Amino acid sequence: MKLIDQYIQAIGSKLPLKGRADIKRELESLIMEDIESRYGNDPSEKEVLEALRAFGSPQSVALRYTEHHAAISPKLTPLYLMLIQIVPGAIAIAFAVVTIIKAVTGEADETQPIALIGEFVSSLFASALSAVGAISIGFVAATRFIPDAYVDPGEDWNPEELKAVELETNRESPVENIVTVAAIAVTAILMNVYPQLLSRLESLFLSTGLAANSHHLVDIERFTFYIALFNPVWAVQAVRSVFSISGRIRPHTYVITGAVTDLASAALHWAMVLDLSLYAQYTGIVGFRLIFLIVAIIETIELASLAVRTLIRKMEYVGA
Amino acid sequence: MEKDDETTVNLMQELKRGTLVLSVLLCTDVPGYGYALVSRLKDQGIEIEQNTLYPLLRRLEKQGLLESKWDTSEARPRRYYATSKKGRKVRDRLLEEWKSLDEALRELERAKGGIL
Repeated sequence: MKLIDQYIQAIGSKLPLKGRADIKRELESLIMEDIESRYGNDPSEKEVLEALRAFGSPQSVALRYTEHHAAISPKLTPLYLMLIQIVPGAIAIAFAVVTIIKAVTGEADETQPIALIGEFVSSLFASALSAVGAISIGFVAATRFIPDAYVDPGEDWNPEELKAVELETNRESPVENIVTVAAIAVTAILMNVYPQLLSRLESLFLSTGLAANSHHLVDIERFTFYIALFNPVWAVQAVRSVFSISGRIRPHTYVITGAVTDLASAALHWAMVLDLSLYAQYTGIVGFRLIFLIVAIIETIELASLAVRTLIRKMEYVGA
Repeated sequence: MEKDDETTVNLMQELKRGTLVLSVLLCTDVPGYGYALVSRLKDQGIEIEQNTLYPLLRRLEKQGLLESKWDTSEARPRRYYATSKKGRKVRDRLLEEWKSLDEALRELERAKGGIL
């Protein structure tokens, strides 16, 4: 039942990573048992909500499973986790914007995007580390000196709130997959049949005068070499989406093929950024090289995020 | 019957809480899953909330006093808990202590007012 899954997920998000999957599995079994014994095999939504209300708020249930003597009070943990998820993300966005502005305004050495990327990565790493460190010190201090200073979010808990909990799923929606297939098909056909489209777009852009003295042109002959490399990636992405729409792909295969094609796509975009033979009349980064750079950064961030999420999921099974 | 005041209620809860581990170790001599154990304890007059029992079972397992096994043979998988060898030793020792405390308390009750 979806409500129960949402309840378990809400509890799981508040549990420590170690052993989380095992606790969730056991809780699901126990809650189902409880509901069945109270209301039979086919409970109404109202009955399920009532049973969950009796079971307790996700916060209070999670707290009972949390070990004592933690450096950060279990009562403060949800707020702590929320902050260390949001703050590095906000810092990453801020630095990405600064990096792009630097690239566009010509503040950086435009022929050396690696230096720009290196500066972005090192600044992001140092700032995120400092921010997470400062937040952690603050919470450890709060736990040590004001152990009861918190507001229990479970006090006013209403099971109806569970309906807003989004369930984790490895599959995208059919609509997303249909849009993906259509977008891949259009891109692949256009790029293979008419790669000169890039030159047309460049001419249109240059005619605006926005990139005077800091632009370049894409060498179409070299570009077609990259299109040939992109073709198998697009093909796998399209097949994956089609299988997903028809429901004939296992979640594991869906995730693996997605990660492999994303990795290949990011690698190709980075290669296109770094391959200077792809560009002619180079006077600056403004143009398709900048677009490839932005796409490569976004894809790399997405891959890093996927890696972190996978690691977190693996850690949930530790101690099971 | 007169209603207990808050202090009495709290002291009674504390007293019951102290006996919970022993109660659980006694009732898991025969393997049981969470929900059944709540009923088993209730039948013996020990009221325990599900939310208190389930984390307690895991804690006792972590301490090596209980062992658990998933039973997936039925439609719904269930985790069965049973007292471990170490758990039985601890249970017997706790029971011994409980009986000795019980005896001491009875003696004290008999000697109320200093009269034995």
